[in-house]
Amino acid sequence: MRKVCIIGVGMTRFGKFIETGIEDLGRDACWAAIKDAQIDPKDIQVGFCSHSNGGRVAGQRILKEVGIAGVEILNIENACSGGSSAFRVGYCSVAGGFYDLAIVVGVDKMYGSGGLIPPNLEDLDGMVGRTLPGRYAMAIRRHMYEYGTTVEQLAKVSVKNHKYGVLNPYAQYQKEVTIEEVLNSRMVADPLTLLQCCPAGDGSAALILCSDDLKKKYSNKKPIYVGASVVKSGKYFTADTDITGMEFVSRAAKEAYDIFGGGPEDINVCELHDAFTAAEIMHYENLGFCKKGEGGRLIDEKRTEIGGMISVNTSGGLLSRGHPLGATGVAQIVEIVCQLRGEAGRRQVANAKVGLTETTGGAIPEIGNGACSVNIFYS
Amino acid sequence: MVMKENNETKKEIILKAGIFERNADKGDSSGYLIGSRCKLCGRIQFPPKKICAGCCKDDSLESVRLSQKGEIYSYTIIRQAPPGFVAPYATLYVDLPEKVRIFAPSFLNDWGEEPIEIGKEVELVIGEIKEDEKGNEIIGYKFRPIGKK
Repeated sequence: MRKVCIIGVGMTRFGKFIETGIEDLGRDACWAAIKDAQIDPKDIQVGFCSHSNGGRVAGQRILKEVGIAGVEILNIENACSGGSSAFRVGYCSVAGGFYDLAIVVGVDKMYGSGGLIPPNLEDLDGMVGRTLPGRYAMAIRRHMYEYGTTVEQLAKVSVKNHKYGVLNPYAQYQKEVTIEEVLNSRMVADPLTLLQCCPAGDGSAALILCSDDLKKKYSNKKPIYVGASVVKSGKYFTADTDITGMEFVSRAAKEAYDIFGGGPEDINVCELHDAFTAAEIMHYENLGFCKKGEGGRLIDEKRTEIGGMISVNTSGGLLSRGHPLGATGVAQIVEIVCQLRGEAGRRQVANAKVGLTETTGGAIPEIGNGACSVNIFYS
Repeated sequence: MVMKENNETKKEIILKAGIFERNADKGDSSGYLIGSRCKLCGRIQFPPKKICAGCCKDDSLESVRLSQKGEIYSYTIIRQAPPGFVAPYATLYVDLPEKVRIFAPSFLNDWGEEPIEIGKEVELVIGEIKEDEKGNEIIGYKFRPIGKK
């Protein structure tokens, strides 16, 4: 297995782009990553694209816009973890020695979906009235029952991530909010209000991956190394399952820490899957940043702000940066790479050396979630 | 049955065949959820399956009626409804004694002034849960507090 590094990153702003299609969004992100890496697109040997509703062979349609055609190109769908999964496959293709230089692009257009992502047609829970905000609301309701987590603690997650969105030129929303505004926004599924839910939007993000021993042939940018890359699916639910625990996240994280050879205490900066404020609180625990039940205390004590014990979602997270499904996982990696390179501007975390990304996607009956990805990067 | 605007009668349509039994042929009634039980490892699954998720055998599963009462493990009140549903309504995780967890809706008319709480016992009802785009009533499974009619 070879060491893999990221030598280029790029993304579009996320937001509402009615006139701009998948191919243009993807092209802009890919071109930004190619320029960042200072490579000739003709040197790219393989491409991986993730999206959830971009139509057939989206990767090929995008990559031909930047001069890439004829090489192996694969398309990956894994709901909200699609982008991370495309990265996973790209990573394996280089680590496993199949290719030396790869491009990964994630893209989606969610704007105009009316807010709620419709369930798959055969999804029985969806057929009897489940919504995604509802699912997270039920998990955090149990968390509040077992650990006393409060709505104010949930609101603080939204306040933090909107504050950082202001500092991120690529974020969909660049406006601060107060705890009162968050709690008084329209209720979507008790206790989650509108400002506690990530917005629907469009966007794309891309990466250039390279085998470590060949990086100097392509770029003299500071390389960022992949320390671990893990994807898992959920196990079968029973009445004994702890839905607040999201065991697939803890399991993926533990394996990632073991592969990296460290633990949560080594992580300086983290992009995690705050599709809802509830998710961030629970993921603090699932990723081992605190003990079970203490997620609320962590945000109360400001330990996950920039400069805290671990800076979480400095990009603004899904809540503020936005969540085009196929793009998110890649955009999280873009942020971590910027942080580890020291290029995060006003969002910069001092001495950031190790970063972690986590996405959780694909709510389905019986096994909970289809895909959880945890990656660790270091400089 | 109710007349629709263009004078067609609304029909009742079963949500999905083979996953529940209904004791009456219209309106809300008692009934059973149908699961599959593995004769080899004892695992019970809902909805019914062809292959046991526990021991991966395809010839050991039998149909079984699930318990009609369970306990609320968690809930929410949906305020932004998906197509066919009318907000607000509740969704529950109900834990049955046989260790199966059911996701199902619960309608606020059935609760009245009584608050929905984790740990409360609820009972299964088979009846309308939503409408389709033509206004037909979709018959599915839902739960309500014990003893309400």
